[in-house]
Formats: sequence, structure tokens, C-alpha cells
Amino acid sequence: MKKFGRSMMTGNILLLLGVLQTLPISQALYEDQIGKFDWHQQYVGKITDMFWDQSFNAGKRVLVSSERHVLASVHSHNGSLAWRKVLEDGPRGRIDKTLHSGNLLVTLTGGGRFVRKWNAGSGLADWEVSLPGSKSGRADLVQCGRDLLAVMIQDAVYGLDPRSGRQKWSVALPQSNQVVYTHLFTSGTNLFVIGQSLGQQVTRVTVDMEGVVRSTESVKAPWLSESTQCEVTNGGVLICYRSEDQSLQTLTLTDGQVFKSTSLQILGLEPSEEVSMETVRKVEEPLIFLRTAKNHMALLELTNDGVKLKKDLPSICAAQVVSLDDKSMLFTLERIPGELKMKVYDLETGSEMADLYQTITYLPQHGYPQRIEVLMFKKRDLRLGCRFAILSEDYSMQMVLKAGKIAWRREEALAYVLSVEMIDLPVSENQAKYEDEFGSHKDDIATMFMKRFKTQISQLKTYIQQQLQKLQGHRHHHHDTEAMAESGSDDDDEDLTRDEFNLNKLIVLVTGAGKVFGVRSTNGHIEWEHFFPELAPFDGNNQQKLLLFVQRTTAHFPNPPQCTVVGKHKGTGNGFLFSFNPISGEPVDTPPTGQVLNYRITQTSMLGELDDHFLRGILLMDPDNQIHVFPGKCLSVLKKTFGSQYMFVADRETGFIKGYRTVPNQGKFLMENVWTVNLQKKQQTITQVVGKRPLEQVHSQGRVLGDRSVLYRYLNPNLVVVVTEGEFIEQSQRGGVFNTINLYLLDSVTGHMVFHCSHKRAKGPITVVHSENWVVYNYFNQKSRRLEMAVLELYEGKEQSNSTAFSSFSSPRQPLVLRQSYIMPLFISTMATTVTEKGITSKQIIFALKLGGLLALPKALLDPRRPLVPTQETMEEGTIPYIPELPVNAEAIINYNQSLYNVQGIHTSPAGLESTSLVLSYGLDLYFTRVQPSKMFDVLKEDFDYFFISAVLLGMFVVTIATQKLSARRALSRAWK
Amino acid sequence: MADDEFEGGSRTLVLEHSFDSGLNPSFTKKGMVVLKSVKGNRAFFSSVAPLTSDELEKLKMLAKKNDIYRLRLQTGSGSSGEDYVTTYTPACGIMSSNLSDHVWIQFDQTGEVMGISLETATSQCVNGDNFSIQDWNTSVEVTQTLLGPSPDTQSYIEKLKREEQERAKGQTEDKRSFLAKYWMYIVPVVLIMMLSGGGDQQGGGGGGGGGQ
Repeated sequence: MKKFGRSMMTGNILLLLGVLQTLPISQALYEDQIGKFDWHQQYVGKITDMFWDQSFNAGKRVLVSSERHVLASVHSHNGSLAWRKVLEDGPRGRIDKTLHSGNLLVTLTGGGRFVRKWNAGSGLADWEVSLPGSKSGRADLVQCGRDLLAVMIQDAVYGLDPRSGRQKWSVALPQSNQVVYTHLFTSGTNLFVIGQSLGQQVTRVTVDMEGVVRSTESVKAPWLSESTQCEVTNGGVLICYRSEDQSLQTLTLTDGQVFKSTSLQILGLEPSEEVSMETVRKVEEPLIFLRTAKNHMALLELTNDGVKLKKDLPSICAAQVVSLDDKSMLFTLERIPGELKMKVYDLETGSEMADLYQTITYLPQHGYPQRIEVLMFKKRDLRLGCRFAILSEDYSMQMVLKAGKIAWRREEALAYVLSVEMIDLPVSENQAKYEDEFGSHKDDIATMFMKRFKTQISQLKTYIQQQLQKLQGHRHHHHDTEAMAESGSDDDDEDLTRDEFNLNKLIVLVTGAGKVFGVRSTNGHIEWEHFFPELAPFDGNNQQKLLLFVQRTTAHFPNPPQCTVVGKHKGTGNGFLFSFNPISGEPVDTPPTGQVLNYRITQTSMLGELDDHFLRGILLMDPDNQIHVFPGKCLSVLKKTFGSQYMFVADRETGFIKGYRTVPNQGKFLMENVWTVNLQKKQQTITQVVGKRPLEQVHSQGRVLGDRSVLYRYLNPNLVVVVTEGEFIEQSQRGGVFNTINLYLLDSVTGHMVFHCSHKRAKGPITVVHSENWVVYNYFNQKSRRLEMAVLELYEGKEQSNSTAFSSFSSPRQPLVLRQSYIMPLFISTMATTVTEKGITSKQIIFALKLGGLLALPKALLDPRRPLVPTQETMEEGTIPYIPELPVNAEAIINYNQSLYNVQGIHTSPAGLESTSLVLSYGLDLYFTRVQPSKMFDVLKEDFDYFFISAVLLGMFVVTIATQKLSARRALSRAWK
Repeated sequence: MADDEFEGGSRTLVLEHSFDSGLNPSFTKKGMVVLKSVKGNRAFFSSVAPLTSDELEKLKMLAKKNDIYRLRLQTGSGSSGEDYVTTYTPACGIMSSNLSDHVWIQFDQTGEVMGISLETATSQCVNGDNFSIQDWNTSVEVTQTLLGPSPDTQSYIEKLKREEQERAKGQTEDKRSFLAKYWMYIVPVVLIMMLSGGGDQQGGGGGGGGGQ
């Protein structure tokens, strides 16, 4: 008896040790594994300002600032980042103005909250001044001579010393509560502050260099409206464009008393909807560019009598005026198919400078160039030379160093990824042939034999080739990487074929810029790209969404895989579709420019079943509740299965969630409202609706408890999590308004509310991870002022209702909901869970920390069944004792020191190996890596000792034979006795 | 707050049902739901009238066409269509479970109706040609939004305190005298000292004797 007890004890200890070991808290990399299966790409976002660095390394770097709150310096020879500063999130970090001249690089951010001077060489901040900030969000910054920086915020102007940031003076602006001050300009020895009062007047405040208000005048401008755009040109002329009657209003700042009006027609320009102005800063004359279309510009000269057309630039999409040695030149870019034509004009004479003319090869998938930034220089033989950067419609930045050739490009659209899918690569040619053999059933024996013979011959051939390559392999490979590093091109990449463990994928990225990319998961190189200038994301819940559907995977050879992007047409708001083969990027079923539908899309879904060619159709619902199927050939599938097609729409405006079923109606299919849930808009707003990943693999139907009984999981594929956020007024003696969040678990077929709970004094932003039978979400607890992570796990109980299939109509209505909450010690921006091929591997949750790390924690830590006091039974089950705080250790950070900023999402995808899950984090940076939540249990380690194992095996074999011989002899001799 | 609504009695909700198919079904009164408090899970249902033969025929038609039986509940006080929460179940299920259904009504924390759903014992279809039961057997269950989980720091701290106390108790319990606690170390040391020290004493004694 006693012995038995002791063996139980040791068993428990072993079990505990086992549990601790299987918890893969440590999964850090070795140093030499860095970059082996992960890659990191840094972006800056859509560039708003761009300057050639004039300080320390003039002409070698370009300084850029972007709308994603980034200030960076880009090497002009290869496009890599010399340094990058990511400023604060939210309105505090928005860059209002970037100023660069000589050694000075100053930014004004957060609506006039911060003025910072940067060292252009190293990217370090020299000084920072904090100002009260502007209520209207408008702020401006100018440099006046060598020792004064003037900053305008809504109610005051500050004079700062550019060397130290010391405030020299400040002056309050008059009537700052009525006038919106928008522009600050310096001319001669005066500063001019321009204020606007809509429908009334323009106020001009003149301040001198000592910070004394010289005069305040107002000029009547009854035409000022919301849509009026105003700019101040060099030479001190205010120019405003009125879209109502397509006219330009000009006012000379130094002495002008009235606005002079010139209509576009008089100038001989065709008015259009999208007129904008671009100031010319590099010359002293009052010049301005007027853009009337994507490829039509005009250079205007502002005189005392109004506006004069200096040069009409039809079919020009980007232009800049540059001066070198008192000579002003106009650079223009024209897009013609496959090329850009750059012409340069002498601004004084108007004649073309033929020696600077060049054509540049330009890919159509960048759209129209929008801006160029030219650097002029004199070559050794005193001829003029230039290098320039081009910013295009697709947010890309390209550089021309030598005439006619793009040296490099940066695809800044990749900082705006909205949807991700990882697609399996196709099998190699040989394997495909095998598939082909089994695919067709019509061949007779002779042809089948011939086919088999041919495939095997070709297999032999490739095998020999591979062996030969292996012999030369090492050197060849080395050469390859060098060449790639030099040219930066990915021409040397091998074919897109599946590897042994299906670890390498093609990542399809859909971006908010309207660009779709195919990227290799091995190195992050772009395989193909498409740009749709008219594609816009859906806007809902302040979240941008572009949908990406995988209609057919790579598994159905010879049918090619197919993906479809569903978005919105920019102009009309109607649906916009683009279907393509994700491996090659070629369009399928839709024209290469995308297909614009003639209706808006209110909801989308996928058909439950595949068609004869293994294609899964997309269902699109229009505002009249009619259902459309894409592609049209999948309509037959809907005709067969419409009875099981349900959809639901959550309306944020009304707080209603409506469920629909599909009904045939006069040859069409309509959605019929069958259930309605009212989430009380008065109190709260729907902020998130999170479903499960479709076709999720769940390995285990239940959970084995300590007493060897099974707790069955509630695995409802139709379950969605709806999150609402609201405010509630506390009626206690203290009173006050607090935030609250509510969570609803809805069955999207029946509308049954499976579970609902609320958190008082809790605030978003909330991220929900919904997988298998559990939901994990985070919220900010306002009472304890900390981030908390809650988990809900749903169980059917000790008996399973239906072990073969799940039906929303017959499932238990009130499953057991186990819940627990944990303290998250660090702030996170988003989170996701790992996915594996068969769902056997235990899950990990990956948190994107605001600090820049990706933290991977085992799901077992977020288990509601963690016992406060461990008992024999819980130890048997393997649950970890409850500790309120989640542990964070440095080894669980999977991106080691590669900090990631502004992470918007994490996408996980299964690999061919059950142990491995692929992770892509996107946001400002792209970071790809692999994780093994239960360690690498299905692959031998790299340092596995084959020799030792075979030696032992061989030894045992020898020993067996020898002992057999010996024992046989012995038995024989014994028999003789 | 929820209890305020029920002051001075119970609350009744009107449940309506429809046997129509098509996009604009018309609803008739099915019965009343009476609930005393949202907190208790149970509510009482009182049926208005048994199924009329007309309705029975309609129900049979619905079941034959594999159509749905709908239910709705008014929320708030307005009369526009937007103020209803609705649900449905396959009509077959209603018939195969002999008109016995179970209605769930979900309330939020202020006592407003958020949703309704309907459950039948089975949802399989049976041949309902000679179906003749006309009395409803409806039960109603009510759920209210629960409070979400929060970290259980209190009991964890208590557990830590308890452990600490136990440890402290373990220390205080051992208030035996120094000798009582460490006799097993002291005795051998003393013994050794006595054994080795005995010789010294003898030597010392001898020396003293020489002096005398």
C-alpha cells in the first residue's frame, strides 16, 4: 500500500515536471538563427514631404516625413533607411510641418504641440519645445533668417532660437476665438499671419521680427467657404481657389487691400472637380502650380493685376521648379505607356533644355507620378546633371540616379496592409505530372503506361540535375546572395514550388492604398503587384476593411488557385472586385483593371460548398437585400444549397443586428430577415464583430479532466462575438460618467444569444481573439488602471449533444461558460492566436506590445480552469496554478530586438508541419517568422546525431547475432550432456 | 436599476407569432410573458388561445414547405416595426415536438429586451398530416447580462497571506528551548569535547600537582 502511494507521488512530480517542460516559455533563438526564417521590412508610410539632405551628406540622402507620423532619412543609392523616427500615435504625433534648409531640420507636430529640431545626419533630436497646441489643429512654422524660427498656433505666434529652442518672444493673436489662423509667412522683415473667417473676411496680422504686432487688417472675402483652398506663394501673395465658380482669388500680402479674381476659363484652363495647388518654394518669384487633373498641370504667375498663365502643362502629371546658379528650370514628367518622359525648360526664356531630356522606364502599376524632387548639380565637365525622386499615386517612392533608369523603389503601400492570406505554393512539375496521371480517367492502358514512363524518366533527370547542382551548389549559392545584395532585384529567386514541409508560402497582401501584392514568405520579395487607383476600403466602426477571399486553394490541380479582393469603388461607392491567381498574379474572371459592380455591397459571405471545379463562390448582398453570386458560374451551387445560406448584418447606426436566410424569388435570390437583436443604441455602440476563422481545424472534441471524465467543447462554427462600447452614468453619491463594454456571443444562424456579459468601468480599444471554443479579449480597467485579459471558454458539459455534426437548431442553448480574467502587465496594440495544420499543437497567443515586441504566450496561461489551490486532480489535468498576472519574459519575445511599430494586425497561417505556425505582423513594419508552440516535435533537430544512433543500432544488431550464436552453441552443448 | 421597473408588481410582455411565409408576414398574439424579476431565471407564460384550425393548416403547410415559424416581441414602447426583436425556428420542429417550445428572452442590465430565441425539443421533420394537437406548451426562460470576469487578486493575496501565516506558524510553533531543539547536535559535540577535553584536564591536573 505504502509503495503504491509513493509511486503515485513520484508520478505526480514527474507529471508536474512534464507540464512545466511542455510549457514552451523559452523558445528563444540562437544568435546564428537570426534572419534564417524571419525577415523584417521597415516602412515610413505615404510620404507627404521630401527634401534632399543638404547638410552633412548632401545629395546622398533624402529626408522624408509621412502621414504615418514618421520622419526618416533614406539613402539615395539603395533606398534603405539611414534612420527612422516614429512619432507618437494619434493626433499628438501628426506632423503638421517639416522644415529643412541647410543644417536645419525642424518638425512641428501634434497641431502645434511640439517643435523638435533634429540632427539630419543621425536622426537624434537636438531639442524639443512643448507649446500649448492649437485647438483648431492648424499650425505653421517658418524660418526667418538665421536666428529665428516662428511658430504659429491658433492663438499665438512664438519666436524660437533655432540653435537652442529657447523662446525669444511670444505674441497673442487678435480675435483668436473668431478667426481661424491658417498660414504664417515671412517676407522681408515682417511675419504675416493669415486668418480666415468663413463667409466674411481674411485677417492679416503683421508681426515684426521682435514679436511686436505692427498692424491687423481685414480684407473682405465673403466667398470663403469650407472647400476653399488657400496657399501663400513666395513673394508674399495669398491665392485661394474657389471650387464654386472655379476662380482664383489673389491678394498681395504686403500692400494688397482687395482680392483680385481670375476665373480658370479666362486663363484658358479646363475646370474640373479635383483642382489643387502646389506651391513653388525654390525660386523667389510668385509662382504656383495648379493641378486640374491627375495628368494636367499649369504653372501660374501671380502679378499685381491677378493671375497670369505662365505655362500650360497638358498631360504633365508632376512638375517642379528648381534653380541652380540663378538659373530657374522647370522639370516636368509625362507618363506614356511603359515610360516617363522628363522635359526641362528654362523658366526665363521658356525654351526646352534638350540635354536634360530623358525617358525613364516606368511600370504601369505605380499609377501616375504625383511629385518629383529634383537635385541639380554640375558635373566635372560643367554640364548640368540631376537626380530625382518620384512619388507616385500608389504611395511608392522611386529614385532616378542615372538617366533613364529607376535605381530603386520603396513600396510604401505595404505600410497600409488590411488583409493577408498565405497561399500554398504549387507542387513541382514532376509531382504535378503524377497528379495529372490520376486526374484523368479516360486514357487507355498504353497511354497511361507511356505517361508513367515519361514522368519517371523526367524524375530521374531532375534527380541527376539536383545531384550535379549539389556538387557545385555551395559556391553558386554564395554568388547568388552577393548578386542579390548588389542589385537588390529578385530575378535570381528560384521557382515558386512547394518545399518539403510546405513552409514557404506566397503571401497575398491587400493594402489600403488600393494595391495588391504577392510576396514570397522566404525573403519578403515582391513577386507581383497590381494597382487599382479606384479601389477603396470599406469604412466601418472606424476600421478600414478590404476583404480577401481564397476561392480555391492550391490543392486542386490542374485548377489554378484563385483569390478575390472585394472593396468599394472610390467614386461611386459601389462594389469593386478583382479576382486573380495568387501564385502568378494573373487576373481571372475579372478584367485586369478590376470589375466595378452596379450596386453597393452591404454584406459578403462565402458559399458553403464548392462547385464542380472546386471553386467557392462569393455571396454579395446589396442594399435591396438581393443576393449576387460571384463568379456567376457558382449560381448553380447556390440553387442547390440556398437553404443553408445565412447572413447577418450588424448596423452600428441603429444598434440592431439582423439575421437573414436565403429565399428564391422570381429567379433571383433574396435575403429574408428572420431574426433581430436589439443592442440598445441609446446606451452603446457596436465596435467589433468577430467570427471564427472559416474551416478551422479542431483536433480534440473535449478536454480530459483529472478524474478521467471528458468535458465536451461547445464548438459552434456559427458563433460570433459582438462587442459594444458605451458610457454609463453612475448614480452613486460620487456620480460621474464611466465607460462600459459589453460582450455578446451570438449564434449567427438562429440569433440566439449564447452568452452575454459586461464590464463596468472598462474601456477599449478591444481586441478579440475567437478560436475553437474560447474567446480572449483585452480591455482597460479604469478602476484599477491596468490592462486586463479576459478569457471565456464554452463547454457543452459532460455529454455531447451530437458527435457527428453541429446544428444551431439542436445544439444546447446554454453551454457552460467558464471565465477568468488576468492582468496584462504591458500595453498591447493587437493580438492573434497561432493556427496549425490539424489543430493538434497547443495554441499560443501572440501579443503585439506597444513597446515593439511580439510576445508569444501559451494559451494554457489564459485558461479559466487554472486553480487557485492546486490539488491532486488539477495536477493530473495539467493546469497551472492561478496567478493573476501573466508572466512576461524576454525569451518569449519572438522578434528578439527587431522592434515593430504601429502594429495593426497579426496574421497566422498553418505550415505543412503540424508543429509550426507562420506569423506575419503588419502595420508600419512587416515582420515574418515561424513559431512552434509545442516545440518542434515532428522534425529531428539540426544537430541530431545520426552517426551515434546508427552506431548504436549497428552495435545492437551485432550483439544480437553474436549472443544468438553463443546461446545456440550453449544449448547444443547442453543437449549433449 | 432593473428592479425599479418591477416596482409594484410584475412586468408583462406580449409575444406574437406568425404562420405566414414571405417577406412581410403578419403577426398575431400568441400569449403573455409575465416576469416578476429579471434576476430569477423563470418567467411565466400564459397562452391566449389554442391553435385555431386555420392556423393549424398554415402550420402544416409551413412544415411541408420546410418553412419557418416566427416569433416576435416588442421592445420599448414605440409601435414602429423597428422596435421588435424577432426569432424563428423550422416549422417542422414545432410539429414534431407537439407544440411544445421553449422561449429564451435576453435582457440587458437595465432591463431592456435585447433578443429572443426559440428552441424545440427536436428540429427533425415528421409527417404531419394527421397532426391535431392544438394546445401550446410554451415555457419561457430569461437571462440577463452577467458581470464579466475580473482578475481574482483578492483570493490570490489571501492565499499568499495564508501561506505566509502558515510559514510563520511553523516558525512560532517551534518555541522549544535552545537545548530541546538542538540536543542532537549539542550532545555529540559535548561528548567529543568531554572525551578529548578529559585528557587535557588530566594533563592540567598533573601540572598543577607539580606546582604544589
